Amino acid sequence: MLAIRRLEKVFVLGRGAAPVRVLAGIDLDIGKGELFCLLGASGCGKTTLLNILAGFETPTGGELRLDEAPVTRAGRDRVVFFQNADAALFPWLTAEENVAFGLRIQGMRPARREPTVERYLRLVGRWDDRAKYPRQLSGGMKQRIQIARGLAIEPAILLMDEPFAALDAITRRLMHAELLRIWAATGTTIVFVTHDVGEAIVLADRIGVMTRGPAATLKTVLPVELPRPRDPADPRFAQTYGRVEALLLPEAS
Amino acid sequence: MDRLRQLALLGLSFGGFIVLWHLASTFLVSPHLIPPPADVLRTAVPMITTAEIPRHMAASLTRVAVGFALGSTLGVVLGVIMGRLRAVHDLLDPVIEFFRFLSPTAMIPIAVIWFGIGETSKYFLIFWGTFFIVLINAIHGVMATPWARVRAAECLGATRAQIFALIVLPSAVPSIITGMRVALASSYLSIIPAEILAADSGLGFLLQQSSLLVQTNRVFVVLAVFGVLGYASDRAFRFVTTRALTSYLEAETRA
Repeated sequence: MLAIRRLEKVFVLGRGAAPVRVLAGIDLDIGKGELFCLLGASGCGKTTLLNILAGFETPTGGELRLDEAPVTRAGRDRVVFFQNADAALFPWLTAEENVAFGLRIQGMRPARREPTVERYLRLVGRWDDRAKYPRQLSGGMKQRIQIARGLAIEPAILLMDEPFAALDAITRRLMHAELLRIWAATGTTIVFVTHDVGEAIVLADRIGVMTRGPAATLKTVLPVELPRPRDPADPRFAQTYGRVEALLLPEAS
Repeated sequence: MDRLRQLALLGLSFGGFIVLWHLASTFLVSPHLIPPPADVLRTAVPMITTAEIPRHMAASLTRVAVGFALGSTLGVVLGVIMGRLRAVHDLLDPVIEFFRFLSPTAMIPIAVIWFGIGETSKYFLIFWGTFFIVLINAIHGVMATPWARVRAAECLGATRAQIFALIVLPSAVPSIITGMRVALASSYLSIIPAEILAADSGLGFLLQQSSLLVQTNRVFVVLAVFGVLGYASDRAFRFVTTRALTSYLEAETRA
């Protein structure tokens, strides 16, 4: 469904500065309904790749197609989830109004959008918080509201940029379970960027390990064949962890 | 309970001040320089009942209101445009950086030449003291809109116009309101010199007149009225804006 071919990105930061080649030819196919984790060390260019998939940045080379159509700009078929939910949510709107935003700007009437808003607020378990403002919610709750807001417009792909990296370990584990449940319930395609090996193994169908930047490429794409739910205490989990870490370690700078 | 505490503190603060003032004027300094509070009050009553104070107060207040409204409106409109359109910003910014260092007081002589000593010159001077402060805060507010917020709206399908109206403008509200509050205080700072130098009404004029006649009591009355007026205006401004814009203003407190 998502086809990435020889994708390149060169940044020129300021006049006279040497151009920086961040991505040097990424080839990748992501299937419909797949949960794909993009794993790489900090600064390797995984967020740049995600921003290109989102349409926030234009690639300087190669091709990007979504269901055969070239991707040129941001659109409602791909929703990005930001690590900083505080910055991404609209603080002057309640949880419910945040979730309704994408439907409201299409001109959908309140009576028509309410069932959808309720469905997704219930799906993330925050229906009771619908009248609260983001500042009244904890980090994990805000992240859930952000997820409900994106799901409400029913995009083809969710692009998640380390959405749980700022949460504490326990909340992060809960959010992993929740994301897997939502993914199972909606059947949506997910591209999930992370630098956390354990997180990638808990979530992914396949893990794309990136090489060190600049001029990063995909080093390997590794399927994770463990049955879900995946338990970090399972010896097979540890074995996979060791394998992925061995791939990633030489790429840390 | 909290309100009660606030009121008690307010009373204590002003009460303490008046006691100190009384002691100072009775034991330390000649009452010709610092008249005791009771004398000032005795002078104040006829000034208020004969409508002398209300008339001059109304004149000053009108000037502040008109100049502040003009300066704020233009400051917000231009600030939002400059914050949004890089080219306009880069073109106008150097000139603005130059003009904003010319204080309203510095502009009094030219205002008198341009507009005479009528109302227009006072409107102009208050406008001058308000405009740049609101402008700079509005530019900042628009530019400081978090990237993630704009991009999130973009992903959800917002058009450029929707992003501007529904994301950028609300994000700029706290900064604009802060700017307007500072500008309101600045209006009060500019009105007095303007009225001292070029007016035949207003609290500044009354101040100047009383000073020339060495009527210290009357000077004190005008100063007190002016202080109360400024304080009350700021309170009123805060009251109205927090009521009308709660969700936009409180939004930023934790972000």
